[in-house]
Amino acid sequence: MRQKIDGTELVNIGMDSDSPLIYGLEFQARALATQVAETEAVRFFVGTQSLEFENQIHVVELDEKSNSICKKLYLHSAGEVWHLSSSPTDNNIISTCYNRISEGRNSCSMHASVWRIPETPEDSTGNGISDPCSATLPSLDHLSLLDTSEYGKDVLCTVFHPTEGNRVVSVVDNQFILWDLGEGYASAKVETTKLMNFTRNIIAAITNLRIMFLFSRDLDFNPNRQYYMASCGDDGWTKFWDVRSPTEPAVARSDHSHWVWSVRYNPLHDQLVLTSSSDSRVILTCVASISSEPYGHCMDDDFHDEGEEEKEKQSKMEDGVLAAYDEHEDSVYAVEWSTANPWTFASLSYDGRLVINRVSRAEMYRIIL
Amino acid sequence: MAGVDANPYDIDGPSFKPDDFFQKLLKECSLKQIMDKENEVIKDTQTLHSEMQTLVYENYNKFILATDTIRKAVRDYTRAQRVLEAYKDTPSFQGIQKDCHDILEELREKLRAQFNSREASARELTESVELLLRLGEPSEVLRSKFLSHATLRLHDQLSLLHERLELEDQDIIEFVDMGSSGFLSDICLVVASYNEIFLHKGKGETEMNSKENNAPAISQLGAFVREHMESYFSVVKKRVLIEQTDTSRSNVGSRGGALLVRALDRFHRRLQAIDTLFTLEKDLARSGMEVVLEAGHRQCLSHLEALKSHFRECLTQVRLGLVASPSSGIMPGEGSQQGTGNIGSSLQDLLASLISSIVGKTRAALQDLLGVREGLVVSFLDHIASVSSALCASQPKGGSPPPPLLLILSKLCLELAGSSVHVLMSEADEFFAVDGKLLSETLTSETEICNKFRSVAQQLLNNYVRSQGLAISQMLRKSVETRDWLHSLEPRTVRAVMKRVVEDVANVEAQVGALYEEGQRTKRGSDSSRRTYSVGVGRLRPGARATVWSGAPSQLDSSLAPNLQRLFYKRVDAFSPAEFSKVSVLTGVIKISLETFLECVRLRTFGRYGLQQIQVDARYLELYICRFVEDERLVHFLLDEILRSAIHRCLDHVLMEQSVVDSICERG
Repeated sequence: MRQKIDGTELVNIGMDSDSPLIYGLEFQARALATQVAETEAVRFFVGTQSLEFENQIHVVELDEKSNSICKKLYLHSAGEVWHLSSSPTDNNIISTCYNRISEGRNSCSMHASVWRIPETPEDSTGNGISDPCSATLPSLDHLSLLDTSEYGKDVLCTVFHPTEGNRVVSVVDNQFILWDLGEGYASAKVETTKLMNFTRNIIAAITNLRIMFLFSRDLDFNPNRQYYMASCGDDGWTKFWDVRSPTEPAVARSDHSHWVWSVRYNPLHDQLVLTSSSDSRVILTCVASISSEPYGHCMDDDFHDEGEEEKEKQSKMEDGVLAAYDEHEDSVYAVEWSTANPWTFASLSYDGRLVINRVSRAEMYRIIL
Repeated sequence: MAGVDANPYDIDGPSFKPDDFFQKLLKECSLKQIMDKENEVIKDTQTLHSEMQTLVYENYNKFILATDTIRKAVRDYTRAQRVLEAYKDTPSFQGIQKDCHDILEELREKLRAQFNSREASARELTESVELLLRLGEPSEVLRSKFLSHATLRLHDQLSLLHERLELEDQDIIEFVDMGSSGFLSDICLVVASYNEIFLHKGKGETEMNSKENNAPAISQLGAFVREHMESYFSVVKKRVLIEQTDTSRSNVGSRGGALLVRALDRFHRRLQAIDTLFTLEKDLARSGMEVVLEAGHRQCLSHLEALKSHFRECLTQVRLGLVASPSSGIMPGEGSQQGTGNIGSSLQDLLASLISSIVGKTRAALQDLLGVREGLVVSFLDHIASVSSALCASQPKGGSPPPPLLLILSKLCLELAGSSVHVLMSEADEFFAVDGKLLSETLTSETEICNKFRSVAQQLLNNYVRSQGLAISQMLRKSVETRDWLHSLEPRTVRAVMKRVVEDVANVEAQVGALYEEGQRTKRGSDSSRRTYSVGVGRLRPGARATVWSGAPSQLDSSLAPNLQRLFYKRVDAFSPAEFSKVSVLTGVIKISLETFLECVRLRTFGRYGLQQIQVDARYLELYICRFVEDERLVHFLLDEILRSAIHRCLDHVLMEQSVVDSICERG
């Protein structure tokens, strides 16, 4: 029964490559990450949440030529995945935060680990070739457990350093712990719990945010202008802050009707910001007013004599909602841009639906032309 | 007594002080004596008055006699002069001529002397000038002398006005009247006499000629009039400015404003009346008008400011009222009938007083000022709208507003859009007879303002829903986050927080019900699957899940039904703004709250009894919260979803017997 479900869950609505691709997982899920080290393929990791069954990590790849989805499944038997992140240097290294249930099923605890995705001898991209039955799925190689027990119970997330693949930060209760994963990621040890040099900005900002916003759920930094950051939270607002003057937001929007769970700057075009919410919508917002490209694409001197067309380009983009995506029917807990293709992004709702979408051509042309 | 020099009680003495005298009388004399004294004083006054009149009459008579004599002398002289001229060789005639000449020279001197005397009235002066002209004095010299004498007098008038200006002892109407009767009459008289004496001389000449001849005279007069009128205007302007800037005068109060308006009105009328006199200086009339317009404009501004601050006060009042009344939004009402009634009436009172005071104040300002449509009414309405919508910002200044304030303001905006704007605007249009064409082209239209208010009302209501939802959400969230659901005890009661939630919702209902209509409710049992939707993508669950459902209440029986329900609910409810009705607002609040509950449940892991507690809580909410919403299916769906999520997040999912759940809920 499950085989049937699994095999037919690739759905491609319509032929237009602008239309979204939908991939259904059989379990509930809230962990999503893009494969950061990958520069060619649009690839995402998804971790499932089930208290009863063996949990899985899905590696979902968008085949841009055929506009279809290829996937690989791996077992994550340690527990249900609450958070996922991928290494910036090695395609096959991920870290997870997970909830492990005790033997007697009467308690559970949060842990964090680093894993390697095993090389599978046979490529199982072809549909129906692999047996998706959980018993025969390959397991992830466990590299090291990040022992957080002495720092607290609640492991909120574990994130890789933006450029150094062997350094990881965990957030445990209200502490930040920096790990050095060592050779082959196998000998994780605590490097420091005082992150003064590593991400001072982030900590300052988070501390500020905690004071300013008890409701904050997620935040992201503008990749091009690092003193701008976005936060979102339970009050339904998405706010953009200038961390140099954090008394009030530079821009504030309340386009969602419930909690905003995730906010993400586009890695290249920082006027594009995605938010996902438990009102089951994903919204693409333009915040050109505080982006590094307030006039769309950076000006090129060669184009200066082109008259009207040029003027149109120079006209400032307006802040506002560019698109609202409502392919989801349940709360959308995560949204991520692809690192390989800056116009593609994935969003994941609790019911296990992964939607891969693109910025519409019209908006795309407005920005790059 | 009379011998003492500085006796303040001597009624005939130079240092007489009426107040002291009066006090002395009161102190020293009996009532009878005082009354006698009064009669005496009255009699004396009358006698003095008639004496004065007699004196004036006599003098006047003498004066007329004198002028008559002089006039006769001049006439005789001019007639005699020819004869004298003809026979001047004759020594006797020569003597007579010399005598006459000397006499007339003396007369001329006397007449000229009039120019230098301040006391000489305009009329006397005219007389003299006429005589001098006849005696062959050159007209240019006389004109200058005449005008310079007039200048002297007008200057006196102006300095008198200046004095008054500094003293500030009269109101503005008195001031304007004084200016009118003193300065303006004088200058009119001067202009009239000037015209008479110097401009109508050449009656026999042709029109052209007279114009040519009179040109220098006219321009001289023009310059004169302009110079003086301008200084007069500047005095008036100063006075008006004092009137408007002096806060102690409470120029915004109806009295002060009315005075100013009447004064300006008189000023303007007076100017128009004499406008005919100096047609030669067209722009003078305009600059007089400017004084009035400027004052009007300033008055508009000050009224606008006053209205704004009044509105601010009103808001503060409402805020205070909300805090003072025990039924304010944050405090749960006792849930009793009485409590709800109180909330209703107090909110309604607040709203009613807010509306009436805004409309009343604006209307008063209008009547007082006969203000300017755009400058006052529209600006003020704009101001209300922008203040209200500022409360909806992400971080409103002065902290987030209390939810009932949002509710009241939303209703206020709606009411304004509904009727009051129309009343005010049409009143304004009526007062100023606003040109219809102009209205449609350049002025802010009524519909524009109404639309603005309607959208602000919507914004405020959405904000109200959001903030009330958030308040309840906070409560739910804390209650779920702070509990160990994995190891909780078997549920015996509904958690207290659920009762709080129901109370708060009832409270919201009372607030909204006080101001908004009930609204449409969807009947229960209407076809929930009327929207056919092909379920292309399954959210099918592993078969093992089905065993979970079998223990659940009947709604959870099939896993397809919730999916259909979900489709229905999501489509219907996809972020539709709250309508202006009670059920719609409550639906919004409840939806936000239950969604929060759902999200919180999904973040936790439950044991068997934790799950059962959620089951009890959800059932309790189902029993008591359905009555508030538009469509019960929404509540059913969300509560099912909460329970379903709890089951998913449960390590040992065994549900409680439905009958046990019900009996726990009934016990409360």
